[in-house]
Amino acid sequence: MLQDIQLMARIAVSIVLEAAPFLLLGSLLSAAVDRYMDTERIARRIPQGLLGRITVGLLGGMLLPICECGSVPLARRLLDKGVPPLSAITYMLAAPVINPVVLVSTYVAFSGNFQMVAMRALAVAGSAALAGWLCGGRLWVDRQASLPDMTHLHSHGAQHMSAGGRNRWMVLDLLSSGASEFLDMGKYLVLGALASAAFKVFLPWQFVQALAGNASLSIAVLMLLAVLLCVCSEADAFVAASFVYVPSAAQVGFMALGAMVDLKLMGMYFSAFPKKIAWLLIIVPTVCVFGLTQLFAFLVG
Amino acid sequence: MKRVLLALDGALVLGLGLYMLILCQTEAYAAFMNPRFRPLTAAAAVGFCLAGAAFLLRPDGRSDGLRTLCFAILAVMAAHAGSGSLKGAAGFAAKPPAEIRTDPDPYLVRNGDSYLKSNPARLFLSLQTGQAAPPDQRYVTRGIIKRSAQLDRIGKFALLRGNMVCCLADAIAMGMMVSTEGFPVLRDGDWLVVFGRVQLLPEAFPITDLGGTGEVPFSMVFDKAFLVAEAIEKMERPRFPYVFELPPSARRPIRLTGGEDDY
Repeated sequence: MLQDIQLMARIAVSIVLEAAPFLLLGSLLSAAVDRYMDTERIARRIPQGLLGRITVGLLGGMLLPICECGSVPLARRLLDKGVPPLSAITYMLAAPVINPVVLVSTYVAFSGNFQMVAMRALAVAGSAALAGWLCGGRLWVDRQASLPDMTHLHSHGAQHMSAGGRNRWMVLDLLSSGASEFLDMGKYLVLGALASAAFKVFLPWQFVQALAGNASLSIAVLMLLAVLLCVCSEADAFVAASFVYVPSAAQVGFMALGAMVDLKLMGMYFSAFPKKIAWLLIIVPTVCVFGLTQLFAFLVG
Repeated sequence: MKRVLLALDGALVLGLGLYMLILCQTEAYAAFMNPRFRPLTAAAAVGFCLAGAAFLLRPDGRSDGLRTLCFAILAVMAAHAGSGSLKGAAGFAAKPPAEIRTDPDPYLVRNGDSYLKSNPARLFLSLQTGQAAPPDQRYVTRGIIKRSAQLDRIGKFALLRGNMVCCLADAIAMGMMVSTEGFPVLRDGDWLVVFGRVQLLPEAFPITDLGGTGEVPFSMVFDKAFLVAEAIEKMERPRFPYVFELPPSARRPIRLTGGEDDY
């Protein structure tokens, strides 16, 4: 038991060690966007149409690749600065996968199987666009009221700048603002890491393996594993490739859902967005990935 | 109270940075993360130190008891996680070995026969990706024993090694089934050196009742072949119980632990 608890502690710490650099990067980028970027001007240049906004979100993921922990604070800030919710949410969900690094790592993990790369990208892009459309509509209607915890961060930084002089405290305030954002999101990272480590150590894996061996259940089982294990999108393809007993559609389900919904991300969604939006961010990708992977299973096995 | 909590928050972020900075310079790092990410952790550690110090000097935002508690729990976890069985507590004191990019000798000679060094995870991946050596190739591999009812019924055990891609959370104990014919009964958790050949199975034989190894909670064995053991030797737990294999590594292994993880 003592050995299990130590292993659990080590797994939890390793998840934080892996994710914290990206969360800090996202938090610092978020603070920089808040203070220095004229995103209102950028927001005005984003196309008005549905397809245009989805395309902007997906292209953003390709051009500004950041893993799932970093994309949440950044998307929250982009929303606050006037970027259309459809584009921001699509970006937040798609960026961890629709980027060259992760697509190449998927290609390598599956020994050059382009079909796996395409199915993964399609499942994530489709789910992100649908979630972006559904969440975006709600956020657009009640934008100001639906973004908790933003005003205090925003005004606090502004107070510092006006009181202390912009140049003198600029870097210090930026770092402090980034640290504050990191702390706000980081608590969910820590809680998610603890929960994930506990599941990993205490879950009866033989039972999971037996269920995953069942073709009809394997997609659901691997999607559940993706949520519980909190594997980073940069590495999950290699983990999925190791599940040699399951059909490829189940491996796609693992890779596609894990980048959009897992234990640590759930906490972050509830922290960053109103409850209804957070639920949509969890339910829509789950249902969408499940549907698409069932389709892949029917088409390619 | 608010000031105390904010000061604690800043100290915890600074502490996280210092912990990462120390950890990435020690051998113990390989028990948490793939050593190839040392530079990333070091860079992030500097970022955390700066951000923590800045937050201490000019705290931003509201205090939040829950977040302070969460990071305090993380600090307790880090203290409890230790050095992950890498030479006990000494793992924190030891400097990591230099990365070796050239192979000094991929073979080990025993009784005049030459055996290709390959850890169980590398063997798994090379067979799975079709990059394995010719069928008559002899292998030497080191791993931890895992037995199960399913394996006992077919007279085999699993030889595994925890394989980390990014961090311990994604680690899977990967390996091969090994035939036990002619060898004494071996215990779960023993470390072994196995000399043998790979024999393909006529059809896949998935093993679905494997648990964890104690170092990694989840195991996987290659289901289309097994290792016919020619000799088995018991060994001490190796300096690096984990390996860091990716599918192409069968062609060009990167020796992140100074060749310790070769086999």
